[in-house]
Amino acid sequence: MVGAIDGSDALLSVRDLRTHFTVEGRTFRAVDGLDLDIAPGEAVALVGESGSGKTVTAMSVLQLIPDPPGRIVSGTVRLDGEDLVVADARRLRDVRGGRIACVFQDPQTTLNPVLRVGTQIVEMLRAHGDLSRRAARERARELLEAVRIPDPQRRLDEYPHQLSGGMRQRVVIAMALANDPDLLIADEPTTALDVTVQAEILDLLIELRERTGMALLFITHDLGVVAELCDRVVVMYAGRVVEEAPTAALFADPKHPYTRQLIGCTPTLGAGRRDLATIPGLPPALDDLPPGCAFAPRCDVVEERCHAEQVALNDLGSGHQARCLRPGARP
Amino acid sequence: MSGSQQAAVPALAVEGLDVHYRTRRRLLQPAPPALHAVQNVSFTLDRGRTLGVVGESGCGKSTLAKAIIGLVDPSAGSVRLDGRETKDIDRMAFARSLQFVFQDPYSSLNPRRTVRETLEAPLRHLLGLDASARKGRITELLDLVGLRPEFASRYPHEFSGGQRQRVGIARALATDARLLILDEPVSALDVSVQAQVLNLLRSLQQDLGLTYLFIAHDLAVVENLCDDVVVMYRGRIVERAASARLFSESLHPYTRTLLAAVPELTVGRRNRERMPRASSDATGTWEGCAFEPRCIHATDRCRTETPGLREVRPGHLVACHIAEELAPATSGSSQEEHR
Repeated sequence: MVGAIDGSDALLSVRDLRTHFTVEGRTFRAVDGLDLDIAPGEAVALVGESGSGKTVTAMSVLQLIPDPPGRIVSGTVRLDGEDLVVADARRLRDVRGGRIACVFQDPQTTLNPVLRVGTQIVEMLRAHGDLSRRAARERARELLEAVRIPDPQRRLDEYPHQLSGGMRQRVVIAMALANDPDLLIADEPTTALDVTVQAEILDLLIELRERTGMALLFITHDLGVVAELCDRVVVMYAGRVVEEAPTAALFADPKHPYTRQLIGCTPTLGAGRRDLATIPGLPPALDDLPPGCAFAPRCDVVEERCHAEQVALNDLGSGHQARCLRPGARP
Repeated sequence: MSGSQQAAVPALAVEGLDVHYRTRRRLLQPAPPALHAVQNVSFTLDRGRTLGVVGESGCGKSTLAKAIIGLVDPSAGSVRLDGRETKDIDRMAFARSLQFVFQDPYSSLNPRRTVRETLEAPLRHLLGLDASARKGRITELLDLVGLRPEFASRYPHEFSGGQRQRVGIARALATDARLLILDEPVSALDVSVQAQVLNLLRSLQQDLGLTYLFIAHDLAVVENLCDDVVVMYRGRIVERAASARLFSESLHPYTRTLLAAVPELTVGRRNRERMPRASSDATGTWEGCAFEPRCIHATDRCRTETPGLREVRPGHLVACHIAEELAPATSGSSQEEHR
């Protein structure tokens, strides 16, 4: 499952993706040379802080970058070998909501507030297949049941505002599953939810993945969520992948100083009252990236040469990669 | 009850606080019952300490903060600052002694005012400082929260989220208030920035002797900052204990459910304390314990009798009929309680 690095057997294979935004004459390199592979059935986490480029990556995969101001300036996004960057609008409509489905952070804005839940799922089903209205409605009920919504028949006739936040996110997941996607992209799907509801949604995603065998690209800022759900973690910083590893290896032995410091400043239960480790400074401006390693100005094991040259993503074996000249170094 | 200072007047004392919201009446339907957002909440907070208030959305923690600040009127109960009822304190004096920091500094700072203008308002109107004294105080405040003096002439949009929250904290400190109500102050921030702001809050407390009421949903953050913690569920306090006790030996089944749901940095699926889904009826009062429909330990008594908050162990208050029976299981064998 780990390290389908050459991309040949990957379901999704992104190569050298560069998505830039031009605003008032300044170019922001939101994603700048990203490679990403997801094998069929694999769950990959894309982790990073705000502005690291994780959502822009997802939007680039789905070809949903608003142009202007954004543009995919180079790279390929292959789904089973087919490059979506050059696909036409009709083809993309088939892919989105068909083979690739997505769930976003806020179910309130994903769902149409003036349409009944059932109507929205039926519309989704009929857009991608020629089901009769009655058959689509029956399938919609099954989908609500699959995401463990109690009393699904009644819920079909309710409006989004009549549901709790967790229930709404379940409806969104049901819609995403409507056409048996091969890949589900979930962008911070539990961030707006309470912890107990978040736990339920994570359990649901784990269960659905076991049952359907779909692959998952899970985007989050929360390392804790990743640990339960994903096979492999990709850490982004300033538009680039800085580390990639099987989940257990990443937590046990982070090789990039950013990953190590990020884990270090995350408060954990049972740690008691103490000063937290911090990462000094701020991420670099994306229109003014430093010439060398983007993390060098904040790094605790930085050397002279880190500032001088661009650093490549180095293979450290066992599916572990880090964009660092001193992988695994400690201060 | 923090022990040593029994005689001292607490910085904040809340007694029997109730807040009811009237819900809207629908055409041709009987008036719905009022929504009991906060019910019979009592606690004291001693000077220089931090009390965490945790609970999920809708549990009443923000309403509690609003009632203390005076943004909503309580239906019953009292709030005392340094022993005086807040309704007897004039607004200016109140604003000098208590300030607040909100979750989203972007919406709580005026976007059309520079930091200097934002900080000057309380210095001028509440403290009556002259121009040169204000200038000195602003530099001092920015230094206190770790911002450079030249930032004073910038607007909120020119700052990152963490810097903006530092401005929010500086604003709260401007009048020398000793009690701060912090409502989710770090939940909108990235992890690395969140750590910086938590450390800042801790060092400010030590240096200035501040008292914090810290409202948050992130339990790890609460553990990191707080001396004592109250857990709220459906408007009531269900458990109160010293932070170290609460996070290692919680007694209320709801607290345990919350703790079990927190994702941790360990790999693999975790065995969570399961619970049946809650009924969605959040309004009105009902017989029995509000957590009973979700509780795996519920008994007949829980369905008919509302448990009061009582001291089960010294300093450890729990609103649960069977807290004593749950207590021994906390010493390592809670797995047996799973169904």
